[in-house]
Amino acid sequence: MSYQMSQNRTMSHNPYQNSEMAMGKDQQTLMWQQNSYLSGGDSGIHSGAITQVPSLSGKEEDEITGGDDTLMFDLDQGFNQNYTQDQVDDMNQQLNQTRSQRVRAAMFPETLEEGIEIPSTQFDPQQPTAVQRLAEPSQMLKHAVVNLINYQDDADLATRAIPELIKLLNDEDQVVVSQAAMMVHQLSKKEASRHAIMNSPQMVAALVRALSTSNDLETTKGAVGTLHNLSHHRQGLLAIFKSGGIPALVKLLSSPVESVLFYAITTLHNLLLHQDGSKMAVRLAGGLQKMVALLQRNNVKFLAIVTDCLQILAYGNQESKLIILASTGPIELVRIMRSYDYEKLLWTTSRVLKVLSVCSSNKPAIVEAGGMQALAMHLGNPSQRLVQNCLWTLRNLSDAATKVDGLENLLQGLVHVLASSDVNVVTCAAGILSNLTCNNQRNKVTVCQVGGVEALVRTIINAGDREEITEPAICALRHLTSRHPESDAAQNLVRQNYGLPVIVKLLHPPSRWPLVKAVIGLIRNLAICPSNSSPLREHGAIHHLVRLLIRAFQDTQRQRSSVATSGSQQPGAYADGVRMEEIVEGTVGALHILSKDEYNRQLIRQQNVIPVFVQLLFYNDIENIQRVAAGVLCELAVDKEVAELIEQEGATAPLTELLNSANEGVATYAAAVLFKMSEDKSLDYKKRFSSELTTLPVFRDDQIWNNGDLTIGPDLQDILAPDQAYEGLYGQAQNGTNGRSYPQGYDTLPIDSMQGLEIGGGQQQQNLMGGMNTGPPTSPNMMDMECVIGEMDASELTFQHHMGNDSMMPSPPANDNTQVAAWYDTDL
Amino acid sequence: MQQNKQSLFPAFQCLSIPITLQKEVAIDHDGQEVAKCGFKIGGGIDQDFTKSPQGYSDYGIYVTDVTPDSAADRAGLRMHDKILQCNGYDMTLCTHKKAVQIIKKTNVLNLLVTRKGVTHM
Repeated sequence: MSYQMSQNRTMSHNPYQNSEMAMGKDQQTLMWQQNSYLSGGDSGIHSGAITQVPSLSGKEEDEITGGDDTLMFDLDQGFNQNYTQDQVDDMNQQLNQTRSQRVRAAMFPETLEEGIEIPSTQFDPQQPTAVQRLAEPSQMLKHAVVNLINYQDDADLATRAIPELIKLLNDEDQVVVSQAAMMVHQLSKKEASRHAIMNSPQMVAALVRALSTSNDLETTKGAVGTLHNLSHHRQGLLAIFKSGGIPALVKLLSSPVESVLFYAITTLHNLLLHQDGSKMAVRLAGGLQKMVALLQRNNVKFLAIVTDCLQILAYGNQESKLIILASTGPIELVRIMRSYDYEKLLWTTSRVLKVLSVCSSNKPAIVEAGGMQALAMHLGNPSQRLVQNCLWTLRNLSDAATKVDGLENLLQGLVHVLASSDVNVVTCAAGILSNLTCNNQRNKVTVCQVGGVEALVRTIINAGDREEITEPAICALRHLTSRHPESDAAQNLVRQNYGLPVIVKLLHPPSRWPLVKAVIGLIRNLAICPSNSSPLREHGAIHHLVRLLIRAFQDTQRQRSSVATSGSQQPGAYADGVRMEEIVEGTVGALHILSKDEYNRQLIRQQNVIPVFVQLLFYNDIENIQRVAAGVLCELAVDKEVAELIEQEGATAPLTELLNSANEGVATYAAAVLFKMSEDKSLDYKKRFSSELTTLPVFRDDQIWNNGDLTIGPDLQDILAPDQAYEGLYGQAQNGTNGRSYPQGYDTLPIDSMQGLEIGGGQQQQNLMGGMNTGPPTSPNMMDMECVIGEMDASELTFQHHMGNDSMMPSPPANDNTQVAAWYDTDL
Repeated sequence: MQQNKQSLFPAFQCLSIPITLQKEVAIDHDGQEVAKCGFKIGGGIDQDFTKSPQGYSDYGIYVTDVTPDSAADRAGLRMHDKILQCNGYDMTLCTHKKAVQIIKKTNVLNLLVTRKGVTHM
């Protein structure tokens, strides 16, 4: 600074501080006189010392904290020196004059001449003078005014310059154009001129034209850099969009020059985020293919922007998803998930995969590219949003991945994640496990080996009545407890982990039918293990099963009688999307297995449910029901009195009919029951009977007859009817039609059981294990956007809306072109 | 500055055959105008080209039939031509439905096609 500062800080000790403060003005003047002139030292600009503004205080700390040598006051000097009035007047005048200097020094220190010493008027170091107090605010005011003046200059400059620059940009000479572009780029860096550029449609048009037609690198850089700066403002985005900037920018995506490429993609990203109509324009300009090609680069921040663009373009647009597929998008995206660590990139890529994973054409491609394994790598990531997106994607893909090898890591990761405290995470993980264990022995064994059974039981216990969790978990356990080498171990593990009481409890309200159906199937499997028979009985399983059977039976009877009278073909009795016939079959099947235990048999008998079983023998349209009914009767008929009871109910006639059934299981059980019923009969009834029986094909195997005891083992069901085993997950194409075949062995399509559950906002879709719809995405407020480059401020788009195309069901190739259909021609 | 001058898009050859097709406009028995091209197309990104009887090898839009003495025939379109572009719209990565839509839009079609043995081997 150019003014003198006193070396001596005087105000640190002021002996006059406490007394004589209420001095008159003249006396104050006297004091100051002493200060300024008697000590010989100049107080300098105290204001600067007191305020911390560096512009005012040349020397800082030393001044303030003291350490001065010379006293301003000479204590020996009398205070009461007398001055004449003239002298006092003189001094006042001096003060007045120096006042303006003081003010000027406070506000415009840079204007002070060197060497000027301005007397200070501060006499109390604790009390700054008015000027001192105003010094800092006045500095700020000064700066603000200066900025305004500059801004106005900028704006003026730009407004005058712009028409000129437009002309130059349109010039024939490439050098001229290039220079003009660079200049415009410079201008666009400052706010005022940037606004001027944005507000001139001809300027933006000229820039776009320059971009499209020029081959010169500097021109391109200047133009695209300008557009990039403009894209941080709503008006700029609109101007670019209106001038046809998007096709020009898309063209630049092929540029080999990195800076051009980065400017172009960021500008496009801003447009896609905040400018309506941009998505369609980018698609039309062929932006999708180019962006997918760019996925091969290896700059992580760049890739994050590209993937976010792809996600915005593909969301809800089937055609875009197909284009991405045709450009080998899935392969590149899975590669990214496998190769990088940068969280933002992983997150944006997982979102693209999520969006693609509901498209039935993309799904197999993603699975084939190793998508399941790649996504599994991130299940342990601390970033919750990444984990959640991976889980959603995995769930969507899981029905297409049941034949995939090498999923051990995934299964292990899922079992670990079941312990999460986040409901969504647990729900997804349970659903995925359920799908992947369906009819897949290898996966079942793996899950058992990594502690899946225990984890699932714990999950069910912790879930209480939250059906969105319990249903898939129960289904998963159901798969794990049957048809693989570790089934027995699993059945025991459920009991050992205190699962039985909770599971049985799920049979009564408020559980809805889909969950109840799943639990019934699980209980049937658990009952296979002999050690489970008693606990199941003790927890009331039989009582619940009978109750459910009777309820369902009555519904089906009502249904059937109404069909009989009206003659029309009615659909079956449904509740929550579950047919009551399925409940009948399930409960009877479970009772069948349970009735291998003697005490269970007694209990079942006491429930007076045998007549129901006999009635079920008449359900000729549903072989499965006949089979399980005959099966349970077969078990119960071991006791003589029961056998008689069965006969008294009139079972002989239907059973005899069933001997001729095409279904081997039905015939076998029917024969067995009849055999047991006939044991007390006269000898020649028996002989006649058994000769009839031996004509049946299934009984040509002497083994069965020779041991005389026709208790048919639990596997008979599987042995005799292997053809009914499920082909994959789908059952029939549509849910709930009459054509639906029943699950064999209760190792079934998991998805159906989720039907009717409302997850996330009441969307009644069939794809609850697959897609979840929580409403359309919300776009951020577009007013006065001041976006940071590269910031991923796309709002959190949750699940994408499932456009009625059920991801879980492979509907037959439709003519609506939403799938990879078979080939056909069109005549034009 | 001079040494930094580089051209951005190195030129490469892309041969294609331009075909201008004027549709035959007729009035059908309802009094409606009908514009007939005289060819059939198959393909698109939503179709499975592995199932095409003609054995096509990509997702493009192909001419699967040309009616003799039709507008297409006279314009020079041939069976198995692959349509790259129609009236400026890209046909190399579009759905079948979209392609039909674009072709039906106007009565004059400016096509760019490739033909095996002519534009490429």
